[in-house]
Amino acid sequence: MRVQLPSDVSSQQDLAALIIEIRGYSKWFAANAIKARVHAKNATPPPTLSDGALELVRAASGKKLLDATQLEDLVSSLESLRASASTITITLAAPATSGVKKQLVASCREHIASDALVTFKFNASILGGMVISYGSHVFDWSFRRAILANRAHFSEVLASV
Amino acid sequence: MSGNTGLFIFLIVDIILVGVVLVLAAQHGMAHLFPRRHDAEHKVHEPVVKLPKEMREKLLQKAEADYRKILDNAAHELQLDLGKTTAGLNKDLAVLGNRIISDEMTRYRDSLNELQTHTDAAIAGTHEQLQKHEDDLKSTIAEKQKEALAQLEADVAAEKQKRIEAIDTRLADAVASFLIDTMGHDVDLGAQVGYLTKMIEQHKDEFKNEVGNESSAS
Repeated sequence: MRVQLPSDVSSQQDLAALIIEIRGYSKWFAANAIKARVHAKNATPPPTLSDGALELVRAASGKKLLDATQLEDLVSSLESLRASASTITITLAAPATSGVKKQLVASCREHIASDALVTFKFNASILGGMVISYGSHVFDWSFRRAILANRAHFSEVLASV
Repeated sequence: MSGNTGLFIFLIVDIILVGVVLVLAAQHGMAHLFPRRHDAEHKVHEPVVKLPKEMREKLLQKAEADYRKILDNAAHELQLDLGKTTAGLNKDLAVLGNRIISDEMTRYRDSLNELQTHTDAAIAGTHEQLQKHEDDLKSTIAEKQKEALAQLEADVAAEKQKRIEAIDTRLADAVASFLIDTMGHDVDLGAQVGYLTKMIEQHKDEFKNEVGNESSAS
């Protein structure tokens, strides 16, 4: 099953929480299905799903009725995705808001990898911009690096003033 | 040399003449002192002439006077000859001395001239060597001075460049520190989102390659 991660699920932790959430929903769904077959009257209310989980469950069922197998397949796909997804770490100069996170995750999944998982970190010393790291590779597009890298051209700028 | 030989021969002849005169004088003296034996020798061959005593005395006195006169004349002539000889000898000796002195002086002057020539040549050579050495020293000093000046200028330029770079570096560090301290307190990520997404989009190929390499390696 091909799974398109929601934009608010960005990191490994978010994906793990999503899997737990859907797995819980799957358990409830299975138990509720058994109760429905035996006409049990003490049915429990469904667990509350987040927007992302609800979106995934709806996408997994398609236009058919949801069944337990689809939920198990969804959980398996999510676990498989968790194991194989590219994990990217983005360090920003300030704690990222949800809007910023969504925009950056969407950009990463659009331009880099559609299943990318992004972990956000905060380091005020980079002043601005971002530092993206993947495995052993680091792409430093921070303002601090830009300032320090162009320190040698300071005299030229000063002379032109 | 020929003058010396002639003078020598002349002296020999004079000595022989003086010897002959002395021998004759000695014979006459012996004949006068020992008349008997002389008479006895002639007595055999010559007839004895008996002269009166006065005559005989007179003849003896006359002979003695003649002999004395001859002896005086001979002595006088000998004295004159000796004087002339002495004068000639003195003259020849003077000429010889003058000639020898002149020759020695000539040789001395030649030696002096030759020595002066050698000395002048040596002095000229020494002067030339000194001039050459002085020129070499001047050229060496000028070259060393030029090198030292060039080195000094290079050192000054390098030091100047080094100071300028140090000033630029410190100024850049100061400005960077100022920017870091100033900008580090207030960061608006919302305003940077456009820039951040633009950076991701610009470097997506580079990033994809790195991600692909990392995935294939793992």
